Amino acid sequence: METTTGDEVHEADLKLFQGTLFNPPETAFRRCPERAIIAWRIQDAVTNLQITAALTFAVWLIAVLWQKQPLWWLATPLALTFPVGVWNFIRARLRWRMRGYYLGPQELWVRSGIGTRFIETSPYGRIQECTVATSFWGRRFDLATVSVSIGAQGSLVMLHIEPEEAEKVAKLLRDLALKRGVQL
Amino acid sequence: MSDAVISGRLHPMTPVRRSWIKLSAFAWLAYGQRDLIDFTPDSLGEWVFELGGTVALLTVIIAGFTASWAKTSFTLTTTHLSYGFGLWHQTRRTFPIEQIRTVDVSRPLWARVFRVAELTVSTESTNQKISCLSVRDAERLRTTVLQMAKGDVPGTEETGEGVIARVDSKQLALSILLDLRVMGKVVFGAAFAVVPYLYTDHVVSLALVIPWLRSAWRSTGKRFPADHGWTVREVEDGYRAEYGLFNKSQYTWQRDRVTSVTFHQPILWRSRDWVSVSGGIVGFSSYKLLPVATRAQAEKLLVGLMGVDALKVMDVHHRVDEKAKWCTPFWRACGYSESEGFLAAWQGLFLKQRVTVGRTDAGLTVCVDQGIWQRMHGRASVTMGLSGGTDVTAVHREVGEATALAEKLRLTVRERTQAGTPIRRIRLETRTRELTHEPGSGD
Repeated sequence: METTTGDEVHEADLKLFQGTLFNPPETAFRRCPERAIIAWRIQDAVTNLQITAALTFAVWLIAVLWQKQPLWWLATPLALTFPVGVWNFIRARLRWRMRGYYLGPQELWVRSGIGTRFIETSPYGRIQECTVATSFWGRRFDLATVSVSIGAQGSLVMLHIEPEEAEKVAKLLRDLALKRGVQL
Repeated sequence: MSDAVISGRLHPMTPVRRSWIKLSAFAWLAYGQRDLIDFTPDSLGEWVFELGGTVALLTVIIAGFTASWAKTSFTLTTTHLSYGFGLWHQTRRTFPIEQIRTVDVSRPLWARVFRVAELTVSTESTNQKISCLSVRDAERLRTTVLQMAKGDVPGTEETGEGVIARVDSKQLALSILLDLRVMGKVVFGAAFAVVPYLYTDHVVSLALVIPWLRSAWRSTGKRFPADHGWTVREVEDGYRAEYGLFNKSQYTWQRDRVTSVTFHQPILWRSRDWVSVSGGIVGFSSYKLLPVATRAQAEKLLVGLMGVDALKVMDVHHRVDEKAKWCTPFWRACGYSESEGFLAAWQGLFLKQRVTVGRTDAGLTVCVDQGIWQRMHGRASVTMGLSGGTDVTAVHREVGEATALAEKLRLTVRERTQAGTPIRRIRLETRTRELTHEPGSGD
């Protein structure tokens, strides 16, 4: 997956720093498959539905049963959860657009964030551990997540990528860490 | 395996120390049942049976703890320190001597009652506590392991041990009282806990006082005995802190394991120029190095840990320009400074000023982040992630400057990683050393 070497790479990487965070779309970053958008939307919708159900039950108990308010009060939680649902729907595509990773010749790059945007890089020699995981919704949509621990706070996460790609990336990163790994 | 240099068991009082709570509970329960037993000659068989049962149960408890003690042992050879424990599930942890970074002796309150000590052996990524050693054994083991880890012959005298800083009780008490952030939390917490009672006159509303008392104790009262008598001594390859009023603890930091040092200065400490010092240590999270000290003491510690260059980097302070005022009201305090081997960053103005100095050769990641508000005003923040759980962040820099700084740091981190000691070579050397120590290898 390595692309180029030498000064040419330096220039390319510099462009990544200058270009991706501040002008997101056109980069060498690899995005997750588009079905991840549907996975995120369904996942968010289910969570939102659970919150709506809990709130509706609370309103039914307190307002309708106890305070004897009319039944239309049951619709009030929707005023809160509907805008959240709309935002989640839009957010899923923005998330897909902003997330990505790039395996450079020397370093791993990860980009994320919608409001607050992050671009993080770490040399392969600093990789401590590499994990492949699949969530409940990830399994439904055949998606996997690779987490790379580097010994600092947090880890570099490649969320919802193809499972075969995840295995390949994890193997490559483990091999590179083994070859280039240095003492902390 | 090589011959044992030191081997032994835990202090003979260990079974008593470990079982006294259970034995006390059992005795208390047995005493509570005394009225149910008829101690008359008529019911001789009954009370002899009950008394015998009690004795048998006590014997089983004591025998269990004694057997557990008998199965616990430590062995120090020329190549390894091993510690075996467990009665049913027996475990033996073995640490290669060259992987041991520090060894510390602590004396918690319970251990002082039984005249024993607790030994903590720290490697790069984990530590092992060996509780209930006699004080003499603990000291002897610590000295020998440290000497062997450094490649010295066991029995040679340890050098260093000069006192760098000592915190007296008055200074510590005053520093806690003058920490406005903590005291503010206590006062606001008190108001939040008591005001509902004043309005409602309901005793139930005083329930809020319980969590407040707990948090107030943890942030003020508990700090005093925990940090009491804090003394920092210089040892051969770093510093050792000894602290605690009831629980006597110590912790050693080696110079080459410290990746960053942070000075904190709450607002009311500024007139006295006091600071508290914490540091990021490889394999562990951020550690407190000094709860309160004068700036001169803190700077001396910084120089001792990281060298003069670490202090020099703090002299140059690239402040953010005035445009950053749209991103933070405390923009005047934000800044960064960089030199050949260090990056320093300033943050916080009102309640607590913070300056962190990090070694760029210990950098693991470089991250640029930009919030919505920063994007509107052409700002971004650059963070260098260090092992030891600390980050150095240059906040609210102009976009071009942030990009250039991030790029520079990225190249430094990359170069330093390439120049680092490869783990494969270390593994190979360790294996070779182990083989040369094997019996029959001609060593």
